Amino acid sequence: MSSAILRKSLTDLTRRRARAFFTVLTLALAVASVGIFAVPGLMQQSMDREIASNKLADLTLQTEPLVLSDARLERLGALPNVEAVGAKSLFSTRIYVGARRQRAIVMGVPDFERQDVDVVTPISGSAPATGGVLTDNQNASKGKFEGPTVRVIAADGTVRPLPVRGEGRNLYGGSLAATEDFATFYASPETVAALSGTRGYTWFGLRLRDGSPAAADRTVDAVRQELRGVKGFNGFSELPELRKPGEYPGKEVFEQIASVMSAVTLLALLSALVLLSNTMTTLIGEQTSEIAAMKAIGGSRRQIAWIYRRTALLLGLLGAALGVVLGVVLANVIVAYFGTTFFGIETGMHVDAAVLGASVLVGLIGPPLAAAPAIRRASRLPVQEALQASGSAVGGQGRLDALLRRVRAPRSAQIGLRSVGRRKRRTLATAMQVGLAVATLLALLALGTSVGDITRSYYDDTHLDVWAGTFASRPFTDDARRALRSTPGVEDIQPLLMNGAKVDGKDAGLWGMVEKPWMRLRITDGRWYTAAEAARATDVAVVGSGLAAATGATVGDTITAQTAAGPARLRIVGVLWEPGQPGQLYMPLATLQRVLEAPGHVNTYWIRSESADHAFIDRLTTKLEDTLGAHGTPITTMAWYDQKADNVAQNANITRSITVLGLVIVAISMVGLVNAITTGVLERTREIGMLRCVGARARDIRRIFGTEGLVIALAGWLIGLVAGYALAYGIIELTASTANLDLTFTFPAANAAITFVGTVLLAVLVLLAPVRRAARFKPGEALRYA
Amino acid sequence: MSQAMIGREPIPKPVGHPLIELAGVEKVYRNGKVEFPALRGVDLTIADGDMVAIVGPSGSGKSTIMNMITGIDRPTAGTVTVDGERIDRMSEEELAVWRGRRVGVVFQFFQLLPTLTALENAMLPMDFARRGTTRERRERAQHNLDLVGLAEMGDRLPSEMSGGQQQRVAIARALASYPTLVIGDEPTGNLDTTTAAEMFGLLRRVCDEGATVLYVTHDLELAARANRTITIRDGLVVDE
Repeated sequence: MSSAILRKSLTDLTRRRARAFFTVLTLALAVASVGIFAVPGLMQQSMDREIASNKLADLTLQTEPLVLSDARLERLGALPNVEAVGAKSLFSTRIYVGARRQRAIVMGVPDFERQDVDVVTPISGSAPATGGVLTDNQNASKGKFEGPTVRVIAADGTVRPLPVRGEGRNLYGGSLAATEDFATFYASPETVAALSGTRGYTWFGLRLRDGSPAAADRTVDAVRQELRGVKGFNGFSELPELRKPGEYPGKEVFEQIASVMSAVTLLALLSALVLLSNTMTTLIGEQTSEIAAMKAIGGSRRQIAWIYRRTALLLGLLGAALGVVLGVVLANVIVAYFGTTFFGIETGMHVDAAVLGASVLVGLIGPPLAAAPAIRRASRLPVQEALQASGSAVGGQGRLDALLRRVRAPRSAQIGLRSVGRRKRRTLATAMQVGLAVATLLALLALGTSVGDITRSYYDDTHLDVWAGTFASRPFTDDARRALRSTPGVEDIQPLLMNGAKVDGKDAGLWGMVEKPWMRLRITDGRWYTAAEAARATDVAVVGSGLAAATGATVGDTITAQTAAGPARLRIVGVLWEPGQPGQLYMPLATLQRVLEAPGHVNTYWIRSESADHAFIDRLTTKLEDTLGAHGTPITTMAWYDQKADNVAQNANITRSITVLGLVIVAISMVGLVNAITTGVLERTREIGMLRCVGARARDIRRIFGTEGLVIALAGWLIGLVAGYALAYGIIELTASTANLDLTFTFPAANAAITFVGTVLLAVLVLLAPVRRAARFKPGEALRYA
Repeated sequence: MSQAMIGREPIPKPVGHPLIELAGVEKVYRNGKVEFPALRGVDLTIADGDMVAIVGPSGSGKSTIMNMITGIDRPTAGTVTVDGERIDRMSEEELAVWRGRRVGVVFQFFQLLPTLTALENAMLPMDFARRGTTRERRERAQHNLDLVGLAEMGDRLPSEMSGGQQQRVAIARALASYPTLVIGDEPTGNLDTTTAAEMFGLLRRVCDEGATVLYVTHDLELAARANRTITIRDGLVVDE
């Protein structure tokens, strides 16, 4: 049999069931939000499984098409430090989906039965023989392709219908279908050769015994030596790519997103703790006379404090139990969302034990901590003062009340408005919660706007209509260049050579350009290279602001870029502000051609169309692909307007996903608002009875409590507006530094209007229940309410 | 010449004309599985313009009878007719409007809104009833405050007034809507003897000017000052 003191702790929970429910719900949301910290770990677990089952390559090498015998491949596999080797022939093209053209990539897999690196797993059907393909399982789910036959445009411009033999999956191919504008197919190398008109492998993946950079460099040299005797080998067409242990495509971006999510989670936790503290203050405050009675009959401070501490612990226990389950679900839903949306993988359901433990701790420790100030106050209250506590019949004094008394409004609205000042601490805490939610949303919306602006700015700064590139860095031939220039609809073309490099261990894009490229040159320091430097192929470069920030490179420095052809030393002559770009090095075309040991090579053309009409540009890209394909140089094209829209949409998708998390805080704040008004209704039930006795109708009661709730919500919005400005600055700075992006601060007024409307609508919605409850009290019951 | 309490000249009425009629009224309160019969078949008629005290021990059903007459509670059985209207058949909304226009209630603990001034509290029933313009309501409320001797205290908050002053405001509020019926549930129960006597004097004036006044009291001395005393015990009228 439990003691009366213990029993009081238990019955305090059931006395106000609605409030106990909301408190447990808030706690559960807070505990669940801790689950978000598990997201990077769970994603890593899923990816580790994918990496293991896909046998993902540690080292990736790209070349122009190379015809290798099985024996030569085996020799590559037998090189020191090489555990396994895999080769693929890749063909980038277009397919027809109805009348529409869709970018596509066809991967040639030598033997579906024997794959040791970057495995393509058939899910259904059979491994395709020559002339057939497997479609990646992401193609259908992402709306890229579906059907029994795929019509592929071959390099010569002809359309080849290929039967689909089943579905397959591959981490890289799935990620292309999920996040890029590609449909991915798997076929035999012979099928790819028939489509591309060229035989040979263009991609080599190696699994290494020792994945350290030094060992990988030695392996690259060994592979280079081995391939030197192969016809057509002129070095690697791209910088060899070394994957760190546990790394997967897109990991860095995902972890950047996760770090912003963590910041949002901390805000959610803070909001929940404020609500908890508020609830415990109310719970204890309304029992002031009971506390006095307990003291009067001999209850010690310690005993009284323990009654409420136990109640808080019980609330914590219930909240933690519900929250842990919610948290596991929430974390897995987020991982599943990002897994399918950005990586094209099925992640399954998993639990992070450490985060689970932390969630339970937050649930158990949080409530007693949040309740501590109120418990301390209650246990120290003198008996006489507590016995005379006036309960709900307080308010009306103070500066705020005097101010509120000046507001003219219908009487019922006036009563609601003045009630705001009756429980000032609770009002402030509730308004702060709403404010925190508004601030978070404003900050996340500002981040979205900033990312969108910077993306649009990047595309708008580059004045071209069509981007055309060769596949696998193959150079444009003179014949192809002439065909490109003379294609009807082309106004002008500009050559570029693009490649990848590492500077100080950071990824950098190498752009070899003409002296006056079609882009806005926003030089923030130093200068652009001169015509003389361009003509003499001087070793100079202009560093993008993103790379400059990441590496600390400044004008006058000489940096070393690790390129596909080896290290190159370049003198920095200027810094270019490049919005939203992680890092580029711009140099004269001739300089990069010399650095890459590729004299005369151009692998990209910027094309200006005779018309800015989108339909005209679409027809032009089709014509360019067909024309160049017929000239033996298959190209991939991008309509710049389309690319801009795609990129803006993709970035918006990421920021929207983070903003959705902000809704957890909104939910907590709304629970807080409901809690505050519900408590107000309960505290003032007798008052409701009196109002009904003197003629108040249901709508008058609704208006009183509705006004009070709305005023608190709007006060919260005002707080949120101010706090949101500061928070937006912080989150944009955080994103800019973690993602190494040159983001500019923005705080659009339209977002303030959106949150205003959202606050009002949500408040009206969540207040429906407590306000209806207030209006439904029968006067007799209300007057007897204790 | 003294001012009229309820704002109109007394209307001569035939003596004994019934204002309130309770017939076979029963009331059972339920709390979970526990049932408590508060009234066990009360038959009662109260004449218009009368001043009636209801007395009885705690839990006898005094307040329940008041609640029946004002429609604050509904009978479990029986009928309640006030001024010819069957109020036990009215909806909650109709009752609220009816009370706002016809009934003035004075509570033991005053039940003033702490955020409204004395004047605003005294205006409240008229605001809910949307009776007259704001200026007219204000004038009427000020008039009632003058009557109860609080002419200069209209802008005070309840927390700035004594218990007696708060109860005066409550009476001013009860008079707001020209009530035909004024109900007091232990109206002097929370006041000292002198203030209680003053309050009783006010209620007497209200009655003299034509309103029917009913009040519940424990104080037999105050009960004796009514025209009629009704004694309730165990949910039944046992003595008159």
